Amino acid sequence: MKIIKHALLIVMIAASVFNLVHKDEIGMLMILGIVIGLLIFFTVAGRIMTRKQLPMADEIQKRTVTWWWMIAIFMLAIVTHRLVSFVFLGFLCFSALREYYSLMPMKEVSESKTLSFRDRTSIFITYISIPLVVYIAYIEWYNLFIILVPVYLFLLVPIIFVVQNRTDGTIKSLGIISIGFMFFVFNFGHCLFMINIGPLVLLYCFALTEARDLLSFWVGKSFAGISRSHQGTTLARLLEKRIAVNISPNKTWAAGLLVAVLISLLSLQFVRIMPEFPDGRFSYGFSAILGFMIGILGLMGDLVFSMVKRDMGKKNSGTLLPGHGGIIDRVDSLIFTVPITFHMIYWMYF
Amino acid sequence: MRIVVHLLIRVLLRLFFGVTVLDRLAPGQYIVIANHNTHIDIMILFSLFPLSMVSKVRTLAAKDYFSSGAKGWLARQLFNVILIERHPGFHRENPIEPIRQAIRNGYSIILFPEGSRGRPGVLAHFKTGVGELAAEFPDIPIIPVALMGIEKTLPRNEVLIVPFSIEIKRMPAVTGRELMEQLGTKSRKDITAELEMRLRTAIGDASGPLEK
Repeated sequence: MKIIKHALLIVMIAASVFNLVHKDEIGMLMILGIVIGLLIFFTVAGRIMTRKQLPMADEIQKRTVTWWWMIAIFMLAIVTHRLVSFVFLGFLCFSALREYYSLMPMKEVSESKTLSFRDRTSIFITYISIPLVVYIAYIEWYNLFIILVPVYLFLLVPIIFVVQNRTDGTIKSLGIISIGFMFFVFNFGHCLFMINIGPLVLLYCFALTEARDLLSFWVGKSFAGISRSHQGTTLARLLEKRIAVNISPNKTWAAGLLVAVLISLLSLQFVRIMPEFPDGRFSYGFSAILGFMIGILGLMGDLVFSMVKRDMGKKNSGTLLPGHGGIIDRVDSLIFTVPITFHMIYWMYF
Repeated sequence: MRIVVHLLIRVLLRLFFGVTVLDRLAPGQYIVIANHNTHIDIMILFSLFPLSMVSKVRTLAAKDYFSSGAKGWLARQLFNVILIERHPGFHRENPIEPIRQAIRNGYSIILFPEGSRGRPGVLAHFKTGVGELAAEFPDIPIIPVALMGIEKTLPRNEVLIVPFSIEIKRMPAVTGRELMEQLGTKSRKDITAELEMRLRTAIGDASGPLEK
């Protein structure tokens, strides 16, 4: 069984590579090459750690295995036909939205931190909006894409509530449901339009966002070590300033800012491989600014959903991804980085 | 053919409801008991068994609901239902009898000790049949399973199936023999109460049911 799984992974990655070579996509191949290199590094590191029986070895191995699968599936979806990419991303939106609506219990009437059984109809409508958004993005109808969810869907749900003749708990349910589709259909749906301006742009945004996630772990640990060995000094006090100690006890402003700077530098590496846009080329200055923003926004996305999970009393959003948690745990940063990156590029170069 | 349909069901359950079965049951004979909330419950419980065993698992179904039409045909074809009278008249057949027969013939049984679906999310009191079976077949492992989140997908009297993430909490298997030793009694009421308590704890239902 394990052999079949390994073979499947290799087949998927090989298929992506062949596809990219055939399309002459040097930029994406380079990124894929670096990503695979990192995966191999962490796989080997994980094996060595297991052999030496170091703590966290099991955790790292599980995370790495899930990473292999996520990258293989994601790359294959992105490099094949645009319709495949769109269906895949649409399904990702659905999984995240479903996970979000499942975070809280359900009662007859919505109470604090619960949904109502009567919300099911509206929730079903929000799920249905996803294929509609996918279609509208596929035919590249930008003006409808940008208002369908925030105007039409947003106004439709309270209308459904009125027709259901509800009074109690309506504003609470409306809040919970609306945040759901605003995050996971509208904002995450920007991935679709990012593919329209170029799959490489999506890959750029994903790569930087995930790099931020990985870097923040290591930088955080390093800074924690430094401030421990320099206890009581001004340096330690600066390094230790937490962003939101109730939400995430370990995240500091210092680590966050340094990571953003590092991502900004990383972003410069992409300038030469980015495609030519209708209104100009990706400049170094713009790339640096964008990289820095991705660094900060990714951090905020992470914290926002940690906040939501804490409110719900949950540590992970789900169990779909072994070693990572749920889908939301993986896309939380993307919900913030993708739309803003898209709009900045769209504003600057289109 | 049946196996293909079951495989398709499992794929759909995973895609739409996030159902992941981490530790499938090893081939063998079991009595699986679970909380009952929707018509989807049975599909998820069947997916706990390896595909090779799907023809060897049976479950109970109400005769008035499942004996005719498309529902009935699907229930018989896919889930090997044993039909029982819900509202028995004078010539009442012991509802446990067909289950006993099935177990003697080597089938695994999926049972909903609450009887019917009840109020969504609320665990009703268990009927004592499960205790009777535990005492009579003391060596068959009983697997209590709690399905969480499923009551949101298709509550009783609703028609629209709305996807939500479903969590499966499988409790350690226990045999009738172990229960009788532990409790020091062969009473089916006590065995049933113990199993009900285990399932209730798993669901985190501290308050107890509001209906019988």
